[in-house]
Amino acid sequence: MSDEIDIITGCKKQVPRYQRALYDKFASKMLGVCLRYSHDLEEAEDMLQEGFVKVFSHINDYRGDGSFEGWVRRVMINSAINYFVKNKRHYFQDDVDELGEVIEDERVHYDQLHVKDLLKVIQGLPGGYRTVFNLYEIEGYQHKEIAEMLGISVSTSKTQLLHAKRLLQKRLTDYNRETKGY
Amino acid sequence: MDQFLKDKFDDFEQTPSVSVWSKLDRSLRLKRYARFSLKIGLPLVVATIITLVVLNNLGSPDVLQPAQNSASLQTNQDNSYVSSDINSSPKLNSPANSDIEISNSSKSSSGKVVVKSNERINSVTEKPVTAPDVLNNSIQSANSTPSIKVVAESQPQQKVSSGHDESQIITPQVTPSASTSIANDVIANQNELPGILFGGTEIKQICSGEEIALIAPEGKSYRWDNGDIGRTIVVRPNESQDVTVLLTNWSDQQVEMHYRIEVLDCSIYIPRAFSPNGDGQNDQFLPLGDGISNYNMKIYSKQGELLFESSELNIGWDGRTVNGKQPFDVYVYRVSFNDVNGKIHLISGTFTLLP
Repeated sequence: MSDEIDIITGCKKQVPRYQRALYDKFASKMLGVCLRYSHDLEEAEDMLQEGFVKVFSHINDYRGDGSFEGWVRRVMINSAINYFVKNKRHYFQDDVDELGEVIEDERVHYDQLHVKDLLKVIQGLPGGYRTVFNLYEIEGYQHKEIAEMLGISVSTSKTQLLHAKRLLQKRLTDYNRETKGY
Repeated sequence: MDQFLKDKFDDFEQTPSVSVWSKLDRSLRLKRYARFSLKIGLPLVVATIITLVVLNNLGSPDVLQPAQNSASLQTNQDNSYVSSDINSSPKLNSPANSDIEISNSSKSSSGKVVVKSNERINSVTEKPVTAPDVLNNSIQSANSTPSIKVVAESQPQQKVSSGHDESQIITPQVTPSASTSIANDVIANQNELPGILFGGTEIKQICSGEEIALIAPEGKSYRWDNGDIGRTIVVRPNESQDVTVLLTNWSDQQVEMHYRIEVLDCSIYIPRAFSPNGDGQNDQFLPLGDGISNYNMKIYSKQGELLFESSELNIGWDGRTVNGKQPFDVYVYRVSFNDVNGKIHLISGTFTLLP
């Protein structure tokens, strides 16, 4: 813990050695986060790099309330969202009318998939679906918050999530059929 | 939120490739450099304009005595990268603060000013630890220059004659009233103390474990913030710290001087082995250093053949040469660098390239 405080203090003073230490401490875990928000490894590493640039330039904003890892993670997620919004704005298409009533507690049956296989399926989702899915299902944000983060409407957020879950369920079924033969 | 999914991804990690850090490190360096140039460039322009204005006002550029020029140069050669010397005239003093030398071209009657940036700027950017501190000081120099301008215009004769007489130098140049118009943290804080003049901040860099002697400008009496009353104190800080001395000069004025002591690691860590197999872990042979300059690393085979050379701390050896991947073997490194005191270190040893 004091190790972490040293690193934070060092990074606030922009000492290269501590910046490296911070990177070493969080890089693997945060790549795990970025991978979920990306299409492939290359994109994830770009997000990771941009995220760390933000972590280093905004480290003075971290006041020590709440876990540091949580703060780094939020910066990473914001960076992933920015990356996505910047590169692929057109992915968020509001087609709420097509779906009619949105049922929120539709569940996906993940089975006992290995995390890497699950990641592959998530990465295969269209970008807009993937972002909302991550924010809602894994990060635990509410639709209202997601809508604000992404600059979309609450109903778009709900629709995208529903689409994401349906597509995910379909792909998982296909995936199981391919790999297990049923 | 889907708890099953969250749990599954909570422990999910993957090591990024080496290139992520390389790019990141490069952008961090660029950022430091950009901020540094911005803060340095501005004072330089301001200082140039002011010098021109002052020279024009004085009519004759001969007023800048050679002795004053040498005082400024001496400041530059001080072992701290940035320092302000109370003995040098304020006008020359501020360029010295930003480590930029402004010399008037051998007092020619045209009043032409030659501005050249000191090479040391580059060496400072190579040494990122020092950059922020240099910035701090350059903020101060940027803001103290205008106040000098006021004085220089109103009392040119006194300013000129004060070159060697320190009791007069400190006198009215940086008075509270002159500099409050330029709101600035550094200056403003100093001016909260009525009747006490601010003599400047001097930055000293030492390696951890070393001690340093701080010598105050000459005066009648001294009071350091640790209680000492001598002109010189010796300190051995474990971490960077600020030291203040309040001195009474021969004109019975109280002057406050600040010393910022930067404690640097001045060490280098050299790994014993590396494995360039592309798994993202130890793929490069890369020493880690802090507070060092003029870094150079050469890698030789056991037969003494030079395989790799790098002068950048963030560029390591990936185990390849023009002839392709090098085999699992022991290799020899030779690393040289200068510490903050300019002392040259040469270290060599062996390391293993693992398959």
